Formats: sequence, C-alpha cells, structure tokens
Amino acid sequence: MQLGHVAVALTIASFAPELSGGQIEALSLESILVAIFAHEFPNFDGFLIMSGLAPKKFHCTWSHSLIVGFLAGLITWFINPAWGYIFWLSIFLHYLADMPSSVGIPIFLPFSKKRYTFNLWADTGYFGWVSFKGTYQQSWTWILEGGAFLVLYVRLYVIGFWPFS
Amino acid sequence: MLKRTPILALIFAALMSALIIFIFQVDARPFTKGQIAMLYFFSFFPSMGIAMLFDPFPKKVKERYLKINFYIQEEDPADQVAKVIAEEEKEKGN
Repeated sequence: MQLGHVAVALTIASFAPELSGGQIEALSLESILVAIFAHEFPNFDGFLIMSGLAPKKFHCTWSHSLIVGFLAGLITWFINPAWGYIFWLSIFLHYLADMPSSVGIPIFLPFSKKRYTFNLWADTGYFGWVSFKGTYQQSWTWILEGGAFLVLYVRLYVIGFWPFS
Repeated sequence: MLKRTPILALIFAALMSALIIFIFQVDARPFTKGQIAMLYFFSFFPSMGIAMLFDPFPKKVKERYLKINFYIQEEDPADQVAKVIAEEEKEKGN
C-alpha cells in the first residue's frame, strides 16, 4: 500500500478519543501526527536503504515485524500512554495494509522468517516512479487504497467532522 | 486497458454511493449535493478497482511484476521492468 496509508492513518486519528481514553481529540493535530508517524514508521527503512546504510533487501523485514512494532509502541507508551495506543493500532494496521502485496511480511521475525501475504497485488519495489506506476496498474490497490479513502470520508460524516460539521 | 473499464467504474461508483447513503445517512443530517458529489468522487477509486477485475490488462501487469525481484542490489527497477516488457514483446513476435 502506498497512498492508502495516509487514509488509514487519518481514520485511526479519528478514533483518537476512544484510543486515548478521551485525552486526545479526534483528528486533532496531535492525533494526526502520532497516527501518521506510527503508521509510516515501518516504511522508514526506505530511508536507510536510500542513504546506503542498508541493502535493498532490508525493506519489509525487521521494520515489519510484530516485535519491533510492539517495542516501538512500548517506548511511545512510556513517553505518553495516550499516544501508545494510537501508535500500536497504527503500526499493526500498517502491517495488515501491506500484507496484500506479494512480497509478504515476516511478522514473526526473529522467530520465523516466513513471509505472510494475501497475494492480491504484485510487489513493485519500495520507492520511485516504477514502484508507483506498477502499483496503480493493478486492480486490488485501487479497491483497497481507494476503499481506505472512502472509509475515511464516511467516517468524517459519522463523526460530523469537516466537510460535514 | 479496455475502454469500458472507466465507464463500468462510473456505474459502480453511483451504486456504491447510493448504498453508502442508504446505510449511513442520518435523517437529521442529510448529505448535501456537494457532499454527495464528493462521495461519488471517493467511490470512484474502489469502483475503478472493481471494474479493473474484469479487464485483462491489470492481470497482465501483475504477472509482469511477479517476475521481478526488486531487491537485487545491483539492478535498477526501471531496467528490470523494461527487460521483462522486451521479453514479452519478443514472445509475442515469435
């Protein structure tokens, strides 16, 4: 998933009051920043690859394992418990959103290297125009990523947020 | 891509929008015309995907990309895709 991650993160931010015990408002700047940071966190491995600090095959490995997601959420929880729950939901939904790709996600690293995938679309790499173009020439990316934006729009209506306020 | 695919998507988007309004609309807060237009706009994207399921081109693209390993350090992704397309053209020619 590429652009759809933004819609998923914003939808999570719309649930901030429920996730933070009422401490953070739905779609407040705080909730959006935490949700987007956490949701994109697993893809930060792309920066390591682009800066030459990691090989290409590092993408979708450790950053996409449950244990790393849990520990990153735990650190966030120690900083601010209200952020912790948003972080956990965001990062775990990132893994779920990436699982339709054929590359598969090794969610049980370091215990198992097996990659889990729904195999709905072919992987197109981690960065660049080739990756972007290839992704959006496949049907299921439109269904799921477009669907994510539609769910966000309906969610905005349900909570009476702009443009429904 | 077949010409009928975006047309099918426009029809699916209308059906999807109508279904969403039927399920989620609250009598006290009916959708305005502008909000319905935006709903139709957002419904178009997943509808396009559904329409693409009935089109052979996206399947061909999936098969093409499944042949490529984008994580080989020395390879350039654009070159890898070009190579596979050239092979497909060659097979078509034979």
